[in-house]
Formats: sequence, C-alpha cells, structure tokens
Amino acid sequence: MKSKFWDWLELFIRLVIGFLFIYAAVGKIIHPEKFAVVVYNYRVLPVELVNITAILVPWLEIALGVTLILGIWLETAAFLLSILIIVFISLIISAIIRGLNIECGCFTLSKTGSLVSWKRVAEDLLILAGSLFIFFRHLPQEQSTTE
Amino acid sequence: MVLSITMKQMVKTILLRSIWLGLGVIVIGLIFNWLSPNGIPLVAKYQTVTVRGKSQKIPLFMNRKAQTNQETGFEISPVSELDTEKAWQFFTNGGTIFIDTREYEDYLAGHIAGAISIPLSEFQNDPTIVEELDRQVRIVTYCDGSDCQSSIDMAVRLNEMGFEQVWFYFGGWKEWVEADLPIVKGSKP
Repeated sequence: MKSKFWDWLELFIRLVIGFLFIYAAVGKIIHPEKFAVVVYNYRVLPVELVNITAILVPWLEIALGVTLILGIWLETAAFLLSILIIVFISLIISAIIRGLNIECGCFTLSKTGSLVSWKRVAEDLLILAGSLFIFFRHLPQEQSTTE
Repeated sequence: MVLSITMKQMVKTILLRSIWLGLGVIVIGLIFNWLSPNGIPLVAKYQTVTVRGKSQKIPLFMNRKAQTNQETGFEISPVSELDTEKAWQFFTNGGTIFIDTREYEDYLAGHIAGAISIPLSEFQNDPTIVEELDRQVRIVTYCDGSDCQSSIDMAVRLNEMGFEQVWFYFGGWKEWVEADLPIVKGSKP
C-alpha cells in the first residue's frame, strides 16, 4: 500500500518534469538564435561555445523529458537532470550576484520572458528535489545482486 | 562488498547510458539545426571591438535565413568607441541619434537630452523595432557606463543590420552626468 503511494508520486513527478522540460525546449529549438542570446547574456561561456550550447541544451532537455515520461533509463535521466538543474541554479545565482538583469531562458523565450530571480532558483530547487527523489528510488538494492 | 559491486555496476551503467544519450543529443541536435531554416551557425559570427584599449569579441546571433538576407548587403566598417568629448561633439553638431540601451525605468529617471529609449532586452527579442530608423543616420548607443555591455552589443548588432555609422559611448550615462552635460528626466527624448 505504502509503496504504491510512492510509485504514483514518482510517476506524477516524472510526468510533470518530463512535460515541463519538453515544453521548455520546444521554443528554444524553434528559435535557437533567441536562446543563443539568452546563453550569451549570462556571460560565462566564450563566444565560440555559445551557439553550440544553444543548439544542444534544448535537445538534452527533450531527451531527458522523453526518458522521464516513458520511464526508461530512469537512473541515468534523473542523474543527468540533477546535474543540469544544479548548473542552471548556479548560473541563475551567479547572474543575480553579478547584478545581471537578464532573461532567465528557463521555460519560455517570450517577450515577457521571466528574468533571473530567487523565484526561478526556488522553482529549480523543486525540480532538483524531484529528480533526486527519482534518482535515489532507482539506485540498486543490496538484495538484487546477492547470489 | 556486495553493495559496492552493485554501485560500481550502477556507475558504469549511468556512464554508458549518459554517453549514448549525449551522442543521440549531439547527432539529432546538429542534424535538426542543419535542416531547420532557423538553424544557426555552430560558431557565432562576431565582431572584434576595442573597448578602452582591450579587444572584445561581440557575437551576432542570427539564424541562417537572416544571415543570407544580410550577406547580399554591403560591407560596413566595424563599430568603434566614443569618448565623452567626441560624444559631446556629435551631440552639438546634430544629426546624431543617441540610443539609451538601459531599461525603460532607468531612461525615465534620466537620460542624455534627445536620446531615445531602446532597451537591449527588447531589441534582442524583436530587432524589427529599429526598422523605422534611417540607416544612414549617425547612431550612438550608450548605457550605464564603465561595466555596461549593452551599448556595445546593440551597436554591433545595428551595424550588422546595415546601419552604416554606429558608435558606442562606453562612458555612457555615468560619464555624461559627471561632465555635467545636458540631460532630461521623464519620457520625452
């Protein structure tokens, strides 16, 4: 009974994060030049790496979204997702500390796109908590390899 | 012991799958970008600009479509920096549009007399907002001064869009006020 609850909770988290990531990635894939501007505005990457990052990151988000929704390679997806979210959180915090009033590029690239703020950090921390939850649920159990 | 073996296997599995996932992302991402009319070059075109004696690479973010349209245009000389004295000279000679690239609230709080407000963030979202400006007119962009980048970014982008005479005034608002030159508060240029 108890484990059923956790299973449903995990499924819910996977679907929410999965669809959120796919939704976030689509706009960036359609307009990579706009996402490149967002990446550049963080001012952490050398100019030469900005475009390739803007091309590949949204596809990584799609890949992670799809694996989470389909429930395949969950430990890997949750692991990569956690790293990605930690990178996002660090970037947002560093932008806030440096006083950059820039678009976050988190979920939307629209004109009214949200700026970097502590609210964005809190949202990402929630996602991180969800992805760590999935990750630890899919770590190997001691019994599974006892021969 | 048993656990550590299992963990080792797990790490191996995660590493291998991460590599596969990464390869998939690279292949699909590059192919899609290559096929898409909105695709961008793998390395952004950039202009090297000298700011206070140091050179900086200012990238230009355009999709292939925009780039092809532009390449049929003409050669333009790269943008360069103005100091306060030269900016003042341009100001008094007339025929120069000063563009304030800061956020609109900053513009309202005070700006160079006659300057128009085009925040970089708005311009980046929609570069067509400068379509009405005359491409032959002299343009000077400025922002907060000293550590502000937006005036350079906008100058380079305007230049690439075909504006022939673009300068950036890096000293910007700060040095203009320090020099006690004409300013205006509120929404009027």
